[in-house]
Amino acid sequence: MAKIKLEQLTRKYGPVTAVDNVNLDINDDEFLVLVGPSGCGKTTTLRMVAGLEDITSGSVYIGDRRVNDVEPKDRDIAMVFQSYALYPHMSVYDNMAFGLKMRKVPPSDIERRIQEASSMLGIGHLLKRKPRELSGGQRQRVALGRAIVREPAVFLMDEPLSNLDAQVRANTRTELLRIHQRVKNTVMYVTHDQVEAMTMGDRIVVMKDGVVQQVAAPKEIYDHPANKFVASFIGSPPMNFLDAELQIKGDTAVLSGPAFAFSINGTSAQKLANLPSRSVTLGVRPEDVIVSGGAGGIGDSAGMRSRVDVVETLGAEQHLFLMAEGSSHALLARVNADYHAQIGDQVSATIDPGKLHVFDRESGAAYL
Amino acid sequence: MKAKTRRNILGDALLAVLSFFFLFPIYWAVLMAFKTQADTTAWPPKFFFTPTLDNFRVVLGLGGESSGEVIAGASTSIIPALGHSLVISLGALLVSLVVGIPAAYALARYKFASRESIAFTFLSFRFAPELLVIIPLFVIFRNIRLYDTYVGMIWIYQLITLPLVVWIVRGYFEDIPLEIEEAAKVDGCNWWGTFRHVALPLAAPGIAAALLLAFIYAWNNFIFVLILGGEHTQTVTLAALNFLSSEQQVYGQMAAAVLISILPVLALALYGQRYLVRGLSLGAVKE
Repeated sequence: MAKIKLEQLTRKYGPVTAVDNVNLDINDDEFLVLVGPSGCGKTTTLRMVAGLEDITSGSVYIGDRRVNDVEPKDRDIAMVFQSYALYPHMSVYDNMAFGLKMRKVPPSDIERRIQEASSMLGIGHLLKRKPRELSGGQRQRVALGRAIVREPAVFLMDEPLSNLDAQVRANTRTELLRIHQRVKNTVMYVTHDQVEAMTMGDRIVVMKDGVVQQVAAPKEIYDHPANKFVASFIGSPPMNFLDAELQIKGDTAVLSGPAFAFSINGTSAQKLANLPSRSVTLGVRPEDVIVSGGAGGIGDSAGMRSRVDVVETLGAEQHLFLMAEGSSHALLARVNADYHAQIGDQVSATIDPGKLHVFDRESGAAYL
Repeated sequence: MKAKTRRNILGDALLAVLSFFFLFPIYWAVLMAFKTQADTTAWPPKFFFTPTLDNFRVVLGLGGESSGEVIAGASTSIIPALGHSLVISLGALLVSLVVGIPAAYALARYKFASRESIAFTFLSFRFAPELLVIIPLFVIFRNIRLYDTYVGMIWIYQLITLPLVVWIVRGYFEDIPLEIEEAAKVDGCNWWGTFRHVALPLAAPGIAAALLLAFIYAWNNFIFVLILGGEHTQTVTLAALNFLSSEQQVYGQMAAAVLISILPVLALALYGQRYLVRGLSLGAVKE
């Protein structure tokens, strides 16, 4: 229903910069997820959009209106808090009606909207109860209902699922998406959980230390992380990192370390040939590690000779922790459930060259 | 097991001794209230006697036989004094309510320069000895004609009631999660709406506790009304004293007056017990 625009948004607490020069354009009806470790400034950013946090410098636009000096109540937003922040002294019905009464919505309208929202959320039978009589999941729905009935231009959600247990969280995640498709509102959603970010966001904003690291669709973020931090934060199990030296031999680029060497041909090799630095960090997603068993069939410089250290069986897949021979390099590989591996097996790990990530060792910026 | 039982017995014994120590004066006052003047001064003290309601009749102004002569000029009925006590205590409460609750909210929620100093100043009213300020206050009250007036008494009683209200209610306001108030702000409230619809109802138990405590302290006050009050504002605490003078001590009537004067407070305290305990402990533990 409304665009949001953040322009050079900054929040300082004394000498500490919590949010540093954030620029963002959030489209109509977009589900935008802000993700990052705790203390990265994502919640502060959200609260500045809500008007609950002072803005040190920069601007927030909702629709075409600059709202820096607009009270939260006049910003046409609804917010779902991590703690739900239900009014303990009011029934579920009154919790949902409160915002509407404050806005002088006609009683018949209030009634209708609450009926609609509560049946959509499956809390119709709870309307007379007080928040303390509800389970965590139910409270979460009420908090959501309170936001939905408002029919705001923008939904702001601050880790709304983090207080739920795993099963309920997964269900509610799906449901939130379903609701978003029905209600069609602009959503700004803050989470520290990269799974939520990946599954829910139309686009993801990855933040660290108050600075936006990357803004992109989930697939783009996963396949082409802008830097080592994004690469390590998004994806579970996390990406493997190996420090490597880059050598260019004709058309072939060789990335090698004490216990491994990976050869790369083609366009990727050409890109690598132009790098300013030869000391890089290699990044490989666990599913891009190709494990081949036995000692035979491994070329001298093909991949990493290693020993299976730990095997984790997850049913649909297995996680193999590989230790490079004669070094402390470890590599996590994600393989099919039917791959036969035992602790102590000698294996060779190679990498799909097209899936390789190369980062600057100093700055962490992605080259490839 | 054995040791535990012994400790229990010891504890019970200690409690019994303490209870006796604290309750005996009240017990004795109750006995005195039903004694004739002769019985109150009898030696050895009489525990068994023929009870009389004469003391209560005199004290309540219902005539009855005064078993001793009352000092000339002093009213024997404490009914007017009860009225004064009520007006002053309730008036003081009302002012503390109107001034103290917003102050408590501001001290709990808003960051401003020297916030803690201001909060502490309120508290200092409570522990500064009354006797220290009473003489200059007397002079001031005389000069601005507040001596022996309701306005003056209600004003000076703020020293008793306001700190209690501010500090207890502040603790309750601080206990309300900030997010609930923020939710109200997003939901369409300005600061007043947030205060009225969310903060105030949630702090209601604290406010009840504070009012109860403040009422008890106000009702029990003696020194302010002794020095700054007069005939028109004399409270029950002072009226009870009228039965004692250098010439005569009408203990029975004084005891009856005291018993009557503690009734409203006792009733309130029993009624509001659960609020009181929380209010007291909250004030104690907070910060």
